[in-house]
Order: sequence, then C-alpha cells, then structure tokens
Amino acid sequence: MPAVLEAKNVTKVFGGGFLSREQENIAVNDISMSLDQKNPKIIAVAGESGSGKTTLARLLLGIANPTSGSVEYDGKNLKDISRTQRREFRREVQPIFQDPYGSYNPFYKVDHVLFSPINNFKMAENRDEAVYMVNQALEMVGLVPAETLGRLPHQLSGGQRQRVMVARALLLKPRVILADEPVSAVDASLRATILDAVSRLNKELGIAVVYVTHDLTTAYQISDEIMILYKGNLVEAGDVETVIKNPKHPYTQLLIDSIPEADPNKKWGKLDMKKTQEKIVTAPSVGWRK
Amino acid sequence: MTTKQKTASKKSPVSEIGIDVKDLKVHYDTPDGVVKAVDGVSFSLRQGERMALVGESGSGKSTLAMALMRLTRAPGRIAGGQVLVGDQDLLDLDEEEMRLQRLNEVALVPQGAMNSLNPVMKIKNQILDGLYDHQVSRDEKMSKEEQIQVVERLLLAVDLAPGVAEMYPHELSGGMKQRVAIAIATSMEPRIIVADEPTSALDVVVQRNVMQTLGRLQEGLHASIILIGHDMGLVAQFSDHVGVMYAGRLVEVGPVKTVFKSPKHPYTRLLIKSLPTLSNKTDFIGIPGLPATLLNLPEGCAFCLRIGKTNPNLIPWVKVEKDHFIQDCKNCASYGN
Amino acid sequence: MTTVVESQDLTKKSFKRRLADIIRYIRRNPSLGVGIALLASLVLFVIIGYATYEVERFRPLSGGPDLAPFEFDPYHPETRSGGYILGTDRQGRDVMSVMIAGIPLTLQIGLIAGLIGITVGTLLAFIAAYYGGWVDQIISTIVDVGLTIPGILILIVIAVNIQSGLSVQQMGLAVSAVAWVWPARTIRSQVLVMREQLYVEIARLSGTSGFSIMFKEMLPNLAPYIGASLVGSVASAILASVGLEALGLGPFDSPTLGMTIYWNIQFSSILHGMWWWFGPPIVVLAMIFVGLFLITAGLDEWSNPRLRKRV
Repeated sequence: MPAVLEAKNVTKVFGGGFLSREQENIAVNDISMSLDQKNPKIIAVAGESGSGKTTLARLLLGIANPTSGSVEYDGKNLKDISRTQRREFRREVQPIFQDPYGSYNPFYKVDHVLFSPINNFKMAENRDEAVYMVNQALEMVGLVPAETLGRLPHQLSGGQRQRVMVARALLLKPRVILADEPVSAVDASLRATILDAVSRLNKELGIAVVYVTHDLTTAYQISDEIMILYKGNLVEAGDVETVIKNPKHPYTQLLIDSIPEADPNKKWGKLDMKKTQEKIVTAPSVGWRK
Repeated sequence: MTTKQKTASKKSPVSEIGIDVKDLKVHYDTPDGVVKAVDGVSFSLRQGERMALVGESGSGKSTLAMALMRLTRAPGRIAGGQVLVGDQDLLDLDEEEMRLQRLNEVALVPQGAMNSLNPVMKIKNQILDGLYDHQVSRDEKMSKEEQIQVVERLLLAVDLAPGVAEMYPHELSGGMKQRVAIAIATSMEPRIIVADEPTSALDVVVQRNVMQTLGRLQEGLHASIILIGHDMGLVAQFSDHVGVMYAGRLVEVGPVKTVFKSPKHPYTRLLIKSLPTLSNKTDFIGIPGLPATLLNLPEGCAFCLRIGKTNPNLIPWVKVEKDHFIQDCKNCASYGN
Repeated sequence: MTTVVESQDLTKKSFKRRLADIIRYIRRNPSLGVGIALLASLVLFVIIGYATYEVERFRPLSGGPDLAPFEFDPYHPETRSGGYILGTDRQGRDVMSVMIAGIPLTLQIGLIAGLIGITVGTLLAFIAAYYGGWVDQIISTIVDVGLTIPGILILIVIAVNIQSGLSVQQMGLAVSAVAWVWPARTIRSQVLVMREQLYVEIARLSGTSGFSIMFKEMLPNLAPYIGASLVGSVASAILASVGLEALGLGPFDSPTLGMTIYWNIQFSSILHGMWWWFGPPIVVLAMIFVGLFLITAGLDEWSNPRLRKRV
C-alpha cells in the first residue's frame, strides 16, 4: 500500500535562469520523505531560517511545484491528478500555519473559517449537523464553543485562534496535517495545550503530522521521527530519541548544543563554534538513521 | 567627558547598586478605562550583574523596558515611581537631560535590529551618530583618524570585521545587524544596558553567539544588564537574577538558580513546569486560563483570577530569602505544587 | 455530552451604544466629521430650498435681469417688490433657485460617474489581479495607456460628438468613460497585495472557488478602500464635469453649477461686479471639494489601522 503522501527526491530552485534578476537559490535539494497511512507518525522537519523547511511544507501541500522530483499522493504524482482527485487531496491534506492572526479574514467571525470548508466540501447534510461537528471539534481542543463562536478574530487571544485552527484541521478529518511553526507566535504557557491537541490528532485519530519548526525542544517532545535540514539539504534524520540524544552530523550537534535549556546548571554553548562550522561545510549528510 | 575619562571614573565596587526601580507605574488611558500596563514594579540590580524580566504577552515587560528609557509614548504615561541610576532619578530629569542620559548611562538594545538601523546610512555613520550626539563641547570633536579607530574598536568588540563599517544594513545578516545594534548601544560605555528581546528574531545558533558577545561586552564594561524576554531557557543560561512578571506586576524576583530550582510563586512554578526539555519526553502541562487582560484589572491577586479564585486584598511583597522576593498570596500559593 | 451552541452574535451592541461609538469616533477623526458636515449642510440647504422656495425660477426670464440681492424688480412690481435673496443674473434667472436646483444636479453627475467608474474599475481590477497572466497584461496596458491620455481631451471629444443637447444623466455617463481608469489601477494594486494574504491561502485550501474568494474574502476587506476611492472618484467627476460645462460643452438647459460658471464667463459677471452671481457657485463648489477631500482623508485614516489615532 503506497504512502499517503510522499516526496521523492524533490528539489526546488528559485531564481537563476537566463532572464531572472534573482540569484539562483536552491531552497530544497533532493529531499525524500514519506508519510505512512497504516502507521501514522509525527515527523518533525527541523531547521533554521533558510533551511528550506517551509518550502518543503509548501511542496507537500501542493501549493508550490518542485523543480525536479515529485510529490505523490496515494501513489499518484500531484501534477497528474484529476480535478476531483485534487479536490480530495485538498481536503485530506490540511495546514496549520504559524500566524494565528493572518490566517483569519478580519471581516468575518471565526465561525467563517470553521463552516466554510464544511460547506465547500459538502461535509454536512444540513446546518444542524454542521453546527454539531463544529462544536465537537472546538471541545476537542479545549475551547468552549459558547465563548469562541460569534467572536471576531481580534477578540480572541493568539492561543485561542491557533486552537481554532487546530479544530478546523480536526473537523476536516484529514489524513495528513502540515503544521508550520504552529506555536512560535504563541505564549509559552499555551504552547503545551496546542501541541497536546496536535499530538492527540495523531494518537487518537490516526492523522499523520508533519511538524515544521525551528524549535528542537518541542519537536523532541511530540515527534516520533525528525529530519534536520540545513541550507536545503537533509543532513540527518531518524528516530527522534536517537537523533537528539546521539547526534552524528556536526550541524545537528551544533544545533543541540546551542539550545538554551531552562536549567541554570546545564550550560549551553560548549562546542567550539569555529571548528564546528568548518566541519559542517565538509561533512556529508548522515541520511536516515536506522 | 571623553570616553577615557568616563572609564576612569566608572570603576566601582561590586556591591554598588546599578539601578534601583521603585514602585514604577505606567498607565495607558483608553476610552474604556485605564490600562495599568506596569503596576508598581520594584527591583534593584547591582552594578555588573545581569537581570532578566520574563513574562508572557501582556505582562508589561516591554512597556517596562521602554519606561526605564523614558521612551513611553502617548497614550501611555509614567504614572509614578522612581528609576534611580546612581543617585539620579531618571524620571526627575527634563527631556534634554534625559536625552543625554540615553546611550551615555542607559542604553537600549532593541528587539529586531532590522527595524532599528537606518537603511540608508552606512554602519560607521550610525555608530558615529550616537557618539556625536553626546559630545559635550565642540573642541571634543574627533579627528578622522580617531573616528576610524573608535568605529573599528567597537566593531571588533562585537566580533565584526572592520570592513562592516562601510556596509549598509541590508548587506548584513540578522545576527550581524543585531551586533551592530549592540555596538551602538555600548559605544558610550553605559552603566545600564536594557536589552528588549534582542535575539527573538534570530536563529538558535546565531542567538547563542550574539548573547555570548553581549555578555562579554557587558562584563568588560562592568555594566548591569536588564534582559527582557519570554524565553526561559535563555534566561536560565544568561542571567544572574530573574524577575517574573504577570499582569503588570512582579510576582517573583530572585537569583536564577534558586528560582528555577524551587520557585515560590505558583505562576513561576507553572511557567517552569510548562517548559519542554531535551532530556526526556514529558506529558504536556500548560497553564490553564488566559493571560490577564490589563483593562480595569481589579486590586488584589491577579493570578488568583486566572485559576478561578479571588483575593481582593493588597498582596504583600515578601522576602523569602536573600535577594528573593515574592508576591505572597495565601489563596493561590500552593497551586501547582 | 456536547451541548450544541449555535453561533450567537457576541459582537452585537445596542443601537444606542453603536451611535455613541460612531459619535466618539467622529470626534477623534475631525476630517471625516467636518467633511460630512459640509456636504450634509449642502443637502439640507437643497431640501429646505425645495420645500420653501420657488425653485422653478431657475429658468431664464423668471425675473428682471441684473438685479442685486433684494433689489426692487421693476418687471414684477407687485409680486417681487422685496426683490430676490440672491438677486438675478444677466438672463433673469433667480440665482437662489439656480443654486437650489443646481447643486443636486451637479452632485448627481458626480455620483453617476463615480459609481459607474468604481464598479467598472473594481471589476476589472479584481479580474486582472486575481487571474494574472495575459488577462492582467491586457487590462493593465489599457489602463496605463488610458492614464497617459488627458481625461479632459477624451471628454471633449465625446461631448462634441454628441450632437443633440446633453442631458445631466448623459453627462454622468460621458464622464464615467474616463472615471474608471484610475480606480482600476489603484484597486488592482490592493488586490495584488491581498492575494498573498494567509487567509486567502486558507480559503483556497478550504475549497473556496476563485470568484468566491474575490467577492467573499477579498472584497469586504477592501470596502473601506473602495469607499475612499469612490469619494475621490466623485470629486474628480464633478471637477471634470464643471470643466466641460465651463467650456460650453455641458447641458445648456440645466442649471448645474458648471453651467452657471459658463454663463458667468459668457456675461463677464466679474467685470460687472455681480458678486451675487459668481460668488455662490464658487462657494458651493469649494464646499463640495473641500468636503469630499476631508471625507477621503477621514476614510483613509479609518481604513488604514496604522494611521488610526485611537488606542
């Protein structure tokens, strides 16, 4: 049985070319990954800015096209699927974006973002059923429908808005969720609740999750597997415990070493920056570890 | 005074108080009522030490940073308190005197250097700008050679190549720009450095470098640094003391080791517990409720309101041990234990 | 057990509260307040005028010619011994009646041209910006070329070619032919920006169709901007129509403000010191333009949250 979503040697290059003014920028360089349906996992795609993680997410979502390689949905190349199949793909692969404010149309109440896909994808027979689905989804993410529905986006906090986004993803019962930095713009105390909701989507509903982030700590907390990206390349990937506890690639080591732990006794920055950076330039990718 | 004279007069014993904030209040007048963004914050920091002020959004920490520099903008206003640097209350000074104090005695490293650097000026001119502004008399004007020397020295101090002086901000990376901001902030060798989320827009590796540079500079100058942020990890690694803010008030202040090891206020406790670590996977613990809204916040314990309790009495600021104080509300003290 | 909640409207305030909010906002946005007041006073003037005055006297030969305000009318000694409030012009029109009748006509021209211009402009702007590609290229080229040709030239050509007398409505239509160009350009820029917004992306990922995105997602957010453009369009349309009329290309039988200016020019009213004849249309036009300008400035402040001075 083919994977539900799979990237096969995708490369994405921006700019360059004869007539372009931009310098050639290889955002994603020959990366492969797959999401399994039978055993849905949470895979973290971790890297800093310029690593290509957001571009990879957009390729997987089908909102950007790879320069080479392919993105396949249920074994079919996204470029070749029919209109109906594309509609189905749209429904089954859903995003949660980083910006909890920009995701909302300021003109409408937050209900709009929840009811709109139900109407478009004809997911409910009638209004009552739609209302029931929305209420259920909101409660699953720990929100009180009476206090959330009917409000304009700016009347909710960032954490609440982001949870509504998770509820929306839940509602659509997709097979894959692509969460791009879902908690970066949210207060520390609320992150846990949102990440918990995402984690439950995976554990209780069997939804495969791609968690794109620059925060290795949260990635470690909720993911099963992790991919480390550096300047568009996959430098190390594998089971999250193995990669974090025993990093092999110098970049991964540097990344982990630079993370400030909330424990004054565990000092950060022990690695020698210069030497490590030299190693990074020459070290080959470790690839997927067993 | 030339910078040389300043350095000579600055050598002070470790125990001297660098900055003493007493009951600082910053209020915003809105048509719906008064927002007490900073509601009576007091703390003191010794010269040469590092303090971090942490809090979530709406806690008032950024407002506090701006108030310390007296950069509060309408409709906000400083509604009371004192900010003592040395013997001078900054809130007592008039506009012109305060302008001289800025950069000279109290400097700001702002959040997002991308926005604080002038995009059409070369780096060297931006550094010199601040220095010129503070030259006391005309005959103190620097010669061309002195200018180049000073700029080079400042750039080297933040680990930037001297060639950066001739560049424009858009040619630099985020980390480099932030270093320039640090160079400008420390150019007059201030006593107090206020760093408002200086690395929030930077990657983790760059962040570590920049913070280490900042720390080294601060030590070299024997300056005190107030770090405003929300990243508890950064706080734990960088500072000596930490103050936790909630709803415009300080709920706990103390040495970083003690506060992290055994936090005494329930909010601090929950904040620390909600932090994920790289050591082991844990269950997710968030803080229930929502961060406080500051509009017409009632008297009494703000944290009680968050967990569904009330305590309308004035909460005492109690000393738990040396240098360690908390808002002692009996009602919620044991929450999360 | 889920207790199902229908979406209540937690944003509905009582009417009184809403009114208080509006008044409070206008106080903080004086541009909008003063602008609206200027136009409202003109409208009030017209309404009261129609109710109390004999507006039919805007026609020529309604009274004796060249009469100063309140001067005795020898041609109508019994009925108009007290004279006319604003006197009469060279052709015997009661100037007050001309003003009362003329203001709504001029405003009408502005509104017709403005509304048509904005509607056509917005439609083209959306289509060009949303679909891009060659559709955008074609529309943009036409718009850019159109912007370089002086509007008044096109209008003169149009007016001259309409052989029979121009009616007020036809004036409106004629001006609308050039009024759509600038809005098309500016609104297209706004749509281009809006197209990249995250919520538009999410709407797309939620299965919303292209047209729905344009009209349901983007249009409501552009409404303040379009509103401000409309006001600007109306102002330009009035200006253009006054220009045409002053040149003698307007509706001759109608007492529009522009035609009044035309007659003033024809009969050298300034040289003859007939201040009651050239004064009023100038004052009224000034009020209209200043009022519309202030409203645009006020709307600009309202629609751009960064300019808003409120907390």
